Amino acid sequence: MHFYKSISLSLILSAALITGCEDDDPSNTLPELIDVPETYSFENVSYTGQTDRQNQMEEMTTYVKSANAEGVVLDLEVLTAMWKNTGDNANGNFSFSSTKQLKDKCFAPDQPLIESYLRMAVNASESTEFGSNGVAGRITSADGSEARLYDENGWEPAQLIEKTIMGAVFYYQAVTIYMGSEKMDVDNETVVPGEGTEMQHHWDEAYGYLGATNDFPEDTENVRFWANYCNGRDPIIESNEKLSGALRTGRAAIDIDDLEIRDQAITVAREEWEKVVAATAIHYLNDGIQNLADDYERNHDLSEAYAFIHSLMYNEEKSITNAEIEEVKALMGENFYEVTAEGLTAARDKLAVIFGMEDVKTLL
Amino acid sequence: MNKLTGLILVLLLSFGCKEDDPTEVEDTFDKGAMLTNVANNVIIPSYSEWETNAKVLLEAAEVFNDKPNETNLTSLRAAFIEAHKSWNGCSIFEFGPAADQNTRLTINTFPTDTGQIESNISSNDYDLKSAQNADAKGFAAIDYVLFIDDQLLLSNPARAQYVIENAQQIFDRASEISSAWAAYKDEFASNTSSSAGSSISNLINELNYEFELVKNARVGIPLGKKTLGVTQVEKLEGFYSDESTQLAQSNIQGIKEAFTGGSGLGLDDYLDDLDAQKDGQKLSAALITLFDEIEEDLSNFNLKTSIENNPSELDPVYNKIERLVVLLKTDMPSQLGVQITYQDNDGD
Repeated sequence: MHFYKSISLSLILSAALITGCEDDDPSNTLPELIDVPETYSFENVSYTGQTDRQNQMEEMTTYVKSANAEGVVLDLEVLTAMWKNTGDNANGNFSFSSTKQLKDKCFAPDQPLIESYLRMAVNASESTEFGSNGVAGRITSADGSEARLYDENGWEPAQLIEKTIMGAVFYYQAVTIYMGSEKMDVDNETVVPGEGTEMQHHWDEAYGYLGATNDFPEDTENVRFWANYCNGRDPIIESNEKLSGALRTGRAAIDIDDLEIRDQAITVAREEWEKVVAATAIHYLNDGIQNLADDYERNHDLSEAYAFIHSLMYNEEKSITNAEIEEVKALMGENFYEVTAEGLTAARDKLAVIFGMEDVKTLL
Repeated sequence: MNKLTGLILVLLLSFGCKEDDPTEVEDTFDKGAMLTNVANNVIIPSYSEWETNAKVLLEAAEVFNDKPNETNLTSLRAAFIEAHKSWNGCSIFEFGPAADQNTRLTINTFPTDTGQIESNISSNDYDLKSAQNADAKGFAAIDYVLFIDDQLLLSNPARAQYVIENAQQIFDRASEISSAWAAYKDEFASNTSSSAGSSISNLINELNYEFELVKNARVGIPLGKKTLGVTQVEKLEGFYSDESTQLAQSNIQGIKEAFTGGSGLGLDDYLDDLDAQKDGQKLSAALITLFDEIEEDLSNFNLKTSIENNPSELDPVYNKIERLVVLLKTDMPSQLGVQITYQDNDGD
């Protein structure tokens, strides 16, 4: 049984106005209300390709993190096979077969960047030294129970690989590709059983990259990747309802073939997803500031922060410029052993100004 | 956003015609005569020119292999450019004999895999037909080997041999398709319906497919249109020879000829016969004007230099290319009752 409620579009409209969308007097042409379900409960929802890629990402991350244990040396051929899904199961290194792969959906100019992180992981795993400034290797947590692998600048390849792929594949594909004109200017009449119309299917594939179940945001247990971070920021920025609401509104609009509302939902979804990225970057910068004296924690926090900051670039309608992204990175500094509280705070504050999060920047 | 919405609306209006199984257009236009003209005066001469130039390329490669010197290298490079341009002039005709061999992919996949090419050359043990060499052969491979390093090319016979192997494959393909067309011509000209798989449908579908390659592969992707403005100049066709602009122009000329039928009967005449209009003028005239303007605009630029130094100066011509895609892909097919049957095969 589906429970529907009516969601006011004022949120969507105001957001559209803020981002400079100048529709001719929208109040005359738009219905005020549209029925939007409380969860992603629509007909013919399917996004198996997105699920496959997220499963691949999980297994890839598990493999990279296996080198957190002393004596485990990573194999570049294995990592590359996982990245390209060679032979449909990464040459036997994935537990399942699929025709999908991460690399061919990755923002093309950053494929070399991710491949450099794969090499970083392998090189660091070959180190037999303890990690320290200028020396790649493992660092043990303060209580001695865990270890993580870092490069000579304190960069954690496991985080850089996973979070950059989350940005360059999942986020980029969802907000830029699937919500882009080439995937949205398509048929919305012919229903393929199990997949809906081409437009519905493309929208569902964007939703699939969130990493939530169709019961989100009621179900906040089964969340991974972006949905996990969305849920993590939810207490401060109410991201669960805002982001998933935009995604549900878009699908509901497509279902009644109302493309104006769909286009507004695209703008809001892009903006709300971007806020999750920015708020998560701020969150990890705060953690880094708090853990400044702890190499094991600080390097980890800043590796996360760096990858989330970098991921801000992948949004078609982003609120930050590429130059500003580089400025924020520069404020952090490239050597995570030599960062200062001032630099990290400046990076955090710059993000907070750009994304209008100054009132919550210390809470995130 | 307004512009985008406008575009979406335009597309949707046209979809109304496209998606309902288009019925055959009732008309008195002599489609058999049009197809005969396109075959005799555009397709067959284009293939013939390509075959001739492919032969010159192969011979020039053999001469260079015998005597690797600067003079022969200059001739070989000139022969390569001519052969490449003439292929780009007939690349659009990927149906019938050309489709049987998957010709586009076989001889002109770009960008090329330079690592694979170098590994082939150093092992000197490779099969260009094998799957792992799918991105390491054809015109793009020759473009790389001929232009990446003069001294290496002059001193290492394995590099000249790689050019010969690829030139041979291109020439073989050209002669096979040329001779197959002699037999295929009647079948092509007599199939005057507009249903999927008919000659008119093939022509219009491939015309669109090829022009979308101009929009994306030849201009848009290197220009960063798929990557949030981050340019990827190394993805240009003809990147190493720096002939990208001329190659794109030859390609656009070929597509335009396929549309107009040269000076004889073509799709433009068919549209005129149906009195197809666009914004108060003939649709055919709107199409031809855009073809000509795009070609003219491109001649003011060098794609590689512009993308490296000032990519935004290409935005006006890219916008015209986008506008022409709409006319070709929605207006023309709906007027002629033809369905666009190819899809992006980029998967889920």
